[in-house]
This record gives sequence, structure tokens and C-alpha cells, in this order.
Amino acid sequence: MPSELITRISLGLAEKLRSNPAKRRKTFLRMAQDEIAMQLRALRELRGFRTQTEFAKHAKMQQSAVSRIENAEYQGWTFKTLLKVANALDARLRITFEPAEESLRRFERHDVNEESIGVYDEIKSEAGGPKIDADVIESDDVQWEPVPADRDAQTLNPLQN
Amino acid sequence: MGQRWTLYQFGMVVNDFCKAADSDLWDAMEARLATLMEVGNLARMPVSERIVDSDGIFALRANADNLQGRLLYFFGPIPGQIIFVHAVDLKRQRKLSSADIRQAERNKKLALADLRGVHAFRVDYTH
Repeated sequence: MPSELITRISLGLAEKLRSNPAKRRKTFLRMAQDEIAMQLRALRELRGFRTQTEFAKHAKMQQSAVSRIENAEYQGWTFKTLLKVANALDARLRITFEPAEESLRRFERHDVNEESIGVYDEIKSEAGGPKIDADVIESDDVQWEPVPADRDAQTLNPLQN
Repeated sequence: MGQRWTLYQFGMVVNDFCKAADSDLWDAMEARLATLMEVGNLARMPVSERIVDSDGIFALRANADNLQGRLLYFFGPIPGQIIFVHAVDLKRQRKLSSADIRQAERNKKLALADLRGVHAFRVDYTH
């Protein structure tokens, strides 16, 4: 029984990012910017530095430099700067290179089904109306359908695009 | 393996935002939605902001040039649910208005009532 008011959002990101290398690179960059900015701010606050100025003093940096690296639009970090900040926060700096296909596989699991792929592109171009699938209540415990079928068998190789 | 997060919308709030938003702003918001799907309740500023003095409402933030978009959401009753209940395009105003926050809270109540209603209907129907 679908909810009438609440529908699941499927961005169709896997397909879009797989077929468009430029968009993939831009999205991955934005996500990396987000992750760095969020982690730095959260850890700074966890360490008790309520303001960037307090932390800048501790880390022997300019407040403006702290502001920059906590800004999710910034992309001028260097390994040296990140290491300096990590040391000042008493944190381990971990760098992860994730193959694009792994990220895309995860995004794919978020997509409801094949028909929903690209739905937001259609909305943007006004070529079609909203086609977001409603969810299904599956049991008396109000179990939504949170986990679409895995498509692990599908091999993606976006780097060849 | 961490918690998996799934995004839902009340009515068509995200669709409508997508339709109305500037393309660059939507691109930025789409990347933020991807980040939110990955990190869920670990999302923090500058990506997500907990709205102070609200009934558990958070704002997913995105900027493009001088445009700002905010998608307001709450965490649903089932683990991993993120439900968007209101969207705001802040072209001129820099901050969310209290009217927008109250609208999000009202929609949250309606969303929760809808979930309960569906549940009740299902119980009646199947028994």
C-alpha cells in the first residue's frame, strides 16, 4: 500500500555519473570538498575549539586559512596543510581512493528501479512529469522498502567512457 | 558496513525545487543529496545544519554563485529514512525565515500522520 504523500526520491545518479565523465568528476570533487569541510569542522568542535580563531591560534595558522579549509567550496588544500591540521586536531589523516565503479554501485542501490533513472533530468527539461515511485508498506511494522535489489552483478567501467 | 540512508519527499517538494532551481544550484544540491545519502546523520555544517528551535528539522544547504538552496528534512521513524518536507530558494534573503521553518514542521506532522494512516489502513485491510 503506497503512501499518498511520501514518495521515494531516486536521483538516478549512477546512470548519470556513469554516462557523463565530466559530471562524475565534478560530483566526486564536490563530495570530497563536503567530506573534508564537514570532518574538519566537526573535529574542531569536538576538540573544544568553538571558533576558527581559537583553533587557528592553536594550530599556528591564520583564521582565514582555517575558514578556507572549512569552506565546502574550497579545493586548494595541500597534503602538507591537511597534515598540519590533522596534527593540530590530534587526528590521523586517512586518504582513500575509491574506484568510481564502487561509488556508482552504491548510488545504484539508492535508485528505485530502471524507470526512475534520470527522472530529475526529465523534470529539469520539462520533458516529463515527476515519476518518483511510491513506497510499499510491507508489514504491520510499517516496513518501507528501504533496500532495492542489489545489482552487484552489473559491471561498470566508467573510466573507459 | 554503515547505515544505509534512503531519501523520501513529502508531496513533491524536491521535484518542485528541482524544477524551479537554477541549473548550477540544482547541480550543487544534487551533489549534496549524494553526500547526504552516504553520511546520513553524520552530515554537519557546512553541508547540513540543524535548525535551532525547531522540531527536529535539518537543512541541506547548497550554494551556486549568489543563489542559496535549502532542503528541509527530518529523520523518519524507520532507521535510515530521511524525509524532505520543505524547500527554499533563498535568492535574496540570507537566512531561513521562521515561516519556512514552521511550514517544514507542519509538513513533518502531516508526513508522520500519513505514515500512521497508511499503517492503520494496512492493518485493517489485511485482517
